[in-house]
Order: sequence, then C-alpha cells, then structure tokens
Amino acid sequence: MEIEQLIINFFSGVFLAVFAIGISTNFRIVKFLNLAYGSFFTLGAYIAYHFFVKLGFFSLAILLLASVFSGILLYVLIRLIGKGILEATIISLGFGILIEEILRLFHTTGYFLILDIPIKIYYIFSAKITSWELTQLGILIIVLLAFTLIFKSKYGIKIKFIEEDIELASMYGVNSNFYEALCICKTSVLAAILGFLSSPHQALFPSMGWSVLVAGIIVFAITSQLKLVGFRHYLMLVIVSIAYAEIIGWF
Amino acid sequence: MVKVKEKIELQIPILAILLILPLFTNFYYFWLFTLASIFASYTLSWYLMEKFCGRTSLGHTLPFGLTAYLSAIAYFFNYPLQLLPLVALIVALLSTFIFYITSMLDRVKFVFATFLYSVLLWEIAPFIVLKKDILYGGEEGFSIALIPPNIIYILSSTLLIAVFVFTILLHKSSLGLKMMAVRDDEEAALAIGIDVKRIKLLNSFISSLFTSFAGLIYILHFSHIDPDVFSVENAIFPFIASVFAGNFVTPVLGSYLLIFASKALNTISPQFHLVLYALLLIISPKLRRISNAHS
Repeated sequence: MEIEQLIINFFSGVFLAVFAIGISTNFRIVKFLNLAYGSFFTLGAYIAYHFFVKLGFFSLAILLLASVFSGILLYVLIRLIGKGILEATIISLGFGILIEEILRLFHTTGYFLILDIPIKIYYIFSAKITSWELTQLGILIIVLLAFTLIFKSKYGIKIKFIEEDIELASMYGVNSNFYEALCICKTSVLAAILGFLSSPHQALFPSMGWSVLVAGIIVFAITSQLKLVGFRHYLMLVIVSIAYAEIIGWF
Repeated sequence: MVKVKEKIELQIPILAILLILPLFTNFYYFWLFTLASIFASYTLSWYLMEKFCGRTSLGHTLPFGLTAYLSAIAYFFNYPLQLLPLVALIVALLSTFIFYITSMLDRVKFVFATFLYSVLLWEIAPFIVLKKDILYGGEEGFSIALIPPNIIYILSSTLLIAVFVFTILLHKSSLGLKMMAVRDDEEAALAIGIDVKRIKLLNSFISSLFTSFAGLIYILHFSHIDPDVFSVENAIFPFIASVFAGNFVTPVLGSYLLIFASKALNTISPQFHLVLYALLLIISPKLRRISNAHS
C-alpha cells in the first residue's frame, strides 16, 4: 500500500516537474511570472476534447498551432505594453483570464466536460499507472535531455548569460528577444501538451489550470531559493517537484 | 495646499451624489448601487496599501473573502449577527500579520505572494464540505439571515464615507507622509528615523481592517457566500477599478463603473464581464502610465 502510494505520488511529481519547468524557464529567460501558463494547460485539454476523437493524433497539429499562436500573442503584448517583470506578469494574468473566458463563452451549455476515451492501464508494483502518466515521464526525460544538450552547446552559454543578466547579455550581442519569444512559444506548447494528455483523466472546466499553476509556482519558488543556474536548476526543480508531490500526496 | 483643498472639495460632491442617487431609483438599482458601494470600500481599502505603501496586493480577497466566509460559518454555528464585527476584527488581525510578513519581501515578490494567497484560498474553500449530515459548506457555500436592504445601504454608505474620510485625513497627516516616504524609498525613510516596520504594520492593519468590514457587509448584502468570493475576479477587482486612480474618488468611481458595466455585459452572456476585466488587465500598465503622467 505504501509503495503504491509512493509510485502514484512520484508520477504526480513528474507531471508537476514538467509544468514547473515551463514556469521557471519563463521566469529565468523572459523575466516574468507567466500567470497565463495554467490557461495554456486548459487550452490543450479543450483542444483534445474537441478534436481528439475526430482527428486522433492529427489533433496535435491544431494543438501546436493554437499554443504557438497564443504564445506569440502573449509575447507581442508583453513587448508592446509591459515594462519590467511586474507589468509583464499582470499582462500574462489578463491574457490567461481572457483564454479562460473565451473557452467559457464557447461552452455555455455545460460547465464540466468529460472526454470519454479508453485509457490503457499498467501495473507497477500493483500501483495503477495510466499510459498518460508514462507519457509524462517520457516528456520529462526528453525535456531534461534537451536541456543537457542545450546547456552544453554554444546556445547554453547565451541562455545562462540571459538568465543571469539580460541587459548585459544584450549589450554583448545576444539576441535576447529571439530567445524570449522562443522560450514563451516552447513552454506554451509544453503546457498545452500536458493539458492535452491529461484531458481523458479529469473533468474539464475553464478554471482547471489554476490549481496546477499554484503548485508549479510553489515548487519553482522553493527551488529558486537554492540559487542554482543552468541545468542544475532544472534538475533540482524535478527533485523538489517529486518531493513536494510525495509530501502533499501523503496527506 | 490650495490645489489639494480644491481637489478634495471636488471629490466630496461626487461621492455624495453616488451615495444619494440610489434613494431615487427602483429596487434593482438600489441593490446594485449598494453592491457598488461595498466594492468601492473594498477598492479604496486596497488603494490605501497601494497608494501609501507602494504595495500592490492581489490577495485582498484574504481579508475580504475570509471575513465573509467565516461570518457565514459563525452564523451557521448560531453565533449572533450582532457579534459578527468581531469576526471581521479577528480576520483583519490575521490578514495584518500575513501582509506584514509578506511586506518583508520586495515589491515584485509581494505581488506574487499575495496572488498565491488568493488562489490558494479559492482552491481550499470548496474542501469545507458536508460530513455526517452536518453542513460545512463546500462548493455550495453558506447562507445567513436576510437583512433588509435599507440597513445594508446605510452600513455600506457609512463604511464608504469612513474609508474615504480616513484616506483624506491620512493623506494630510504626518503618518501618511511617513507611509509615502516608506513607499518612495525604504532605506531613505529609515535613514531619517522613520520606523519602517511599524509603518508597514500600521498600513497593513488599516487596509485589512477596512477590507474585512467590506467583506462583512458583502455577506450581509448577499445573505450567501461560496468559494468564488476568493476568485481571481475578486482578487483583481481593486487593481482594475483603480487603474485610472489620480485622486481618492477615482477608485470609487472605477468600482461603480465596473459593477454597472459587469451587470450590463452579463446580460449579453453569463460571466461576459470577465472578458472586460481581462482586457483591462492586459492594457492596465499603459493606462496606469497615462494616469500617473496626468496626475
């Protein structure tokens, strides 16, 4: 029973880690707390609800388009209107609420939606684990591998430079705008994929992203206290996420 | 000084019109004006923290919502209505402590932390549920006795006048100047002998106290409360309502406008007003810059 619980909590931690990596990347590279992040997650879940049964995995193309478009739009708004971390955060909050409300307006007939598709279940030490949770683990491994490669490449030095001092990085010729836009787009896609994959496992409603967002911010805030840079920070984020899920899951 | 006096003299008639106007309207508008005055008190209490201490809180649903929620729970356990202000006072003290501790963080982290409080409360509130045939609330929330609208109107108007007068007096007082000195530069304020911690504590208390009483009148007005009192919508309300704030009556006017616009938009589609809130939030940095430049 205890091992079962540990395994289930571990997979919750994996989900949280992927989510928190997105929040953290936005904060460290683009320098704002992306409060629209939970809404990107919701957007992904709603795309799965509308298109997965009809289009199967081709619906991922719609997901990609919608999340990249939303990410770019958020970036443009921040650049046009916001100055500094606080204003960018406020804009992202407004943008997140806007996504949520547009979804609500188009789903006035039912608040809670259910995507009814068969779910494959696997047993690990008698703990029920779904294919979705295993996919998340796969995504986390891919993300960490990608970070390893990026931080060992010449781009990694630039990203570290942006993380530590964006103004100095710009003065030394690093195209910080490009990295910022790319970061928002990539993390928007990541959050939307998480929402897409989690859609068969929970009731869908417009404000479903807030609780995940809060957990992600808490994990990120704890990890930030350690003041690590580069790949170490993201690795620590995974460890803290799993520890957080184990502790919270226990209660 | 003359200019300040002129400005205040202009603000008082506006407030008076807003408070007298509902007496000449039908029941629906009377109810709506009362609601707007409750939210105006909420916004002005929030503005006390923003204007005087430079702390932008997205967590004022803590004193506002918690007072409303705990008052309803207290009433459920047969706590007399007359003693509910005590609940507001306790919540104000608790909120003061939380805001004061949070104010040790820098201004940006203060916004993040207070936002987390409000969303956490929103998430936790539905867990107060029905157990063994005893109602503990949950998604459905709690109800309390119906209070005549006239009494609510008097209470809300009195609170709004009290917050407004207090804000003006504070602005002119040495305490207000000390608060603004802390807002402008904490280290410089410390250097000239201002007890920064005490000032922050006082500011947190004043803002929390008025907000708690606004929360109390809010539950009396609706006679019902549910977890949505802690929603992001309520958390961002004072921020949006005071987006054009130059003097003390503009947050009040902003609250009235938002409440009336919300009701009008909701006739198009339920919750449609949140689209307006979202758009205002997105352009708020620009609007605030214009407002600051103007003032």
